[in-house]
Amino acid sequence: MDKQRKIRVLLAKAGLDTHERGVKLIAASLRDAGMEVIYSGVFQTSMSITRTALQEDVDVIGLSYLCGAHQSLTQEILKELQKNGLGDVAVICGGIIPGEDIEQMKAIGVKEIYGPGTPMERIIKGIHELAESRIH
Amino acid sequence: MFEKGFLTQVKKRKTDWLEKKYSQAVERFTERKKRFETNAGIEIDPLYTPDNLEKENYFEKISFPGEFPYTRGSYPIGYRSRYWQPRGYCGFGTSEETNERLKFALQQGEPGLNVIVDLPTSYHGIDADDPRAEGEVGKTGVSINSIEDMRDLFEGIPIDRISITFNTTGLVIMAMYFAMARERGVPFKNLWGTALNNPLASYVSCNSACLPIPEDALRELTDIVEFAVRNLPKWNPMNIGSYEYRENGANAIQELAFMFGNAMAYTDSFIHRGLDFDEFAPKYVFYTSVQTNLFEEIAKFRAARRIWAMIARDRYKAKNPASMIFRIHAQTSGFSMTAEQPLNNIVRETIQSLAAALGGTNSLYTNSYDEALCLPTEEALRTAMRVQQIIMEESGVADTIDPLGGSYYVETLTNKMEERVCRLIKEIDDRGGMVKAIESGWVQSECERSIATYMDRVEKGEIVVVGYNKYQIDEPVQYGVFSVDPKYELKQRNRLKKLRAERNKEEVSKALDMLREAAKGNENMMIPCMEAARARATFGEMTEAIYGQMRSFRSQFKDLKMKMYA
Repeated sequence: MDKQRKIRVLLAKAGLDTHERGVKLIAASLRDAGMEVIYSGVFQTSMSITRTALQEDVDVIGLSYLCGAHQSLTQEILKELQKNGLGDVAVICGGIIPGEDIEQMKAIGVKEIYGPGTPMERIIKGIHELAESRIH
Repeated sequence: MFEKGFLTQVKKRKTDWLEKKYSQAVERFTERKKRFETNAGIEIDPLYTPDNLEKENYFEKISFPGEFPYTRGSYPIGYRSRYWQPRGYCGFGTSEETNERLKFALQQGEPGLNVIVDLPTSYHGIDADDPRAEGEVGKTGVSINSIEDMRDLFEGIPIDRISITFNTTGLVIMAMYFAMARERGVPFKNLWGTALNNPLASYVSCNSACLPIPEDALRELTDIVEFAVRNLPKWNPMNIGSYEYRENGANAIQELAFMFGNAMAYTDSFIHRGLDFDEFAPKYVFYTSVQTNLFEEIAKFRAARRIWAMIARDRYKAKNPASMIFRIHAQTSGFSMTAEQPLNNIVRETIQSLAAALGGTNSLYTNSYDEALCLPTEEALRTAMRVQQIIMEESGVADTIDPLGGSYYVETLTNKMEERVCRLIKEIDDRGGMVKAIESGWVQSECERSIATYMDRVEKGEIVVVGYNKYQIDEPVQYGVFSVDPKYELKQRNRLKKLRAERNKEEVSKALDMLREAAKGNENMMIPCMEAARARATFGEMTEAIYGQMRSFRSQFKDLKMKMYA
C-alpha cells in the first residue's frame, strides 16, 4: 500500500434516526489514528452514501445504527454501491444491532459488525486490514 | 437560620477541627483527589456545618412543602398519600399490537399510559408508505398514520379516566387524538394527559435537520397550547424538557438553565398570543434527566423548584400559586448505561431513581438495563418498574417529605446550583433569549463542550465508569436480543392502502386546503387539522399541508427528498 496515502473512511447515519453521539466519537478516534474521515451526517440515503463514496474515493464505509432499521437500509446501500462499481469498498456497521441479525448482515456482504463496547483498537485494526486488502 | 452566638461557636470549632484534626489526618492518609467536585464542577468541601447556611433565610429559601418557593416539594403531602407516578413507555408495530400492550400495562396496575411513536411519525411526519420510511415503520414506537390508527390504538381503553402521555412533539398527533376522542363521544373536558411538545430542545438534539426552525415551531406549539387552555382543562399540552439537552452532553447546571431558557421562550410566545400567564403556566410539566451523581441530582430538583417559583413570581408576575409550581417528570439517563457488564446498569438506574425520589419528582420513568444493547426486552422493562417499586415500598424514603431538607450539604449544594443556573440564565438573556441562543449555535456548542470535557475526564480516569474505564473484565462483546419483526411494516402499509382507497377523496382534499389556508395565515391550526384528521387525511399529508406554507418546511428535509429522487 502506498505509504503516502492515508486510509479514507466514510462514516454515515442512514435512515431517520438522529442518535449520532457514537458515530461522532468513532470519527474523532479514527481521525486521531491517522485516517482521513468523512462524516456525512444523519439522514443519508443509499444514493447519497454512494455518491460521497465515489467523490471521496473511500476505502471503507462505516454505517451507524440505533433504531432497528439496519437490515433494509444496509441492503439498499450495498446494492447501490455494487451498481456503481463500488462493490470492493468494505462496508462495516456499528451501534445497536441485535445478535440474531449479525449472520444475516454478514451474509449480504457486511464485512464487520462492531457492537457497543467494542474496543477502539479493534475497530482501527479491522479497518486497516480491510483497507489493505482492498488495495492489494 | 441559626443564632449568631451559636454560629460564631460553630465557626471557631470548625476552624480548629479543619486546622488540627482534619489536616493531620490528610497528612497521614492523603486525600483521594486534589479537588473534589460534582459532575458539573461544583467544588465539594470535606464537611458541611451550620455556618454554611449562615445567610439562609429558612422562610424565604427553604420554607414548607407546597409553599413558596417550593424547595421542599411541589405539594404539601409529598408521597404520604400517593407515590410519584411510575411510568413505562409502550409502542411498536401497528396500533393493534400496541393496543394489546397498553391493555396489559393497565392490568399491571400502571396508573397512566405512555405512548411512544415511531421515527417516521414523530420526527419526520411521513407515512408508512413513504419510501423514506422503509425499514423504520413501527420499530422504535407505534406507527400512526391516520385517525383510524389512533382509534385502534385506544380501543377499549378508558381515555376519559386515565392519563395518557404522548412521547412526541407536534400539532398533527394532538389533532388526531382530539378528533378521535370526539368521534368516540368523549368530551374534551374529560381528556387527561400530556404530550412532549418541546420543539426547541428537539431542534437542538436532533441536529435541527428534521424539525421546523424555532419560529415556526413556536407558532405550532402556541396553537396547541392556546387550544388546550381554552378547551381541555385536564390536558397538559407540553413538557418543557431538558432531557434532550442532558443526554446531548449538558451538565446538570446547563440542563436547568437551558430548560428555563425554553420555558421563557415558550411563555413569551404564549403571552404574545394574548394568553394570560396564570391561565397556561399551571399546565406546565418539566421533563428532566437524572444521572448517577446522587447529591448533585437531588440538589438540582430542589433548586429547580425554587428557581421556577422565582421566575414565575418575579418575571411573569404570577398571582396563581399553581403557576409557580415546578411539576417534575424525571427519566433516568440512557447515556449513563454501559454495554459492558450490562447488569451494572440496574444499580445505576436504582441510584438515579432514588435521586429523583429524594429530589421530590412527581413522576418517573426508569430506563431498562439493556438500553445500551437493544430496544428493551420485557424482562428489562419489568426490572425497571421493580426498581421504582422497591424504592417506593421497601426503602422507606417516601415516608417523610423531603428527607434531606436541612442537610447542611444538600442545602448548600442546592444554593450553589441555584446560583450557577441563574448566572447562566442571565447569559441566555444577554444573548437575546433562547431562540437566538439556539439559532446562533451557542447552546449546541455549550453541550458539545461539556461532553468533550466529560469524555476527557472519563478517558483520564478522573470520572470512573465502572466496567468501562475501571474494573473491566474480559467479556465477549454483548449484543442485544430484542428486535421488532419487519412484518408489521407491511401490515401498516396495507392498513394505509385500505384507508387511502376507502376514504372520500374530495372531502380529504377540501380539508387539506383549509389546513393550508390556516397555516398560511395566523389562524389557529388545531381546528382545521382536526377536521382533516376526521376526513381521514394522513399524518404525512397534514404535515406537508402545514409546513409547505411555512418558512422552514423542515428545511433539510427537502434536501433529503432531492437526495432520494435525484
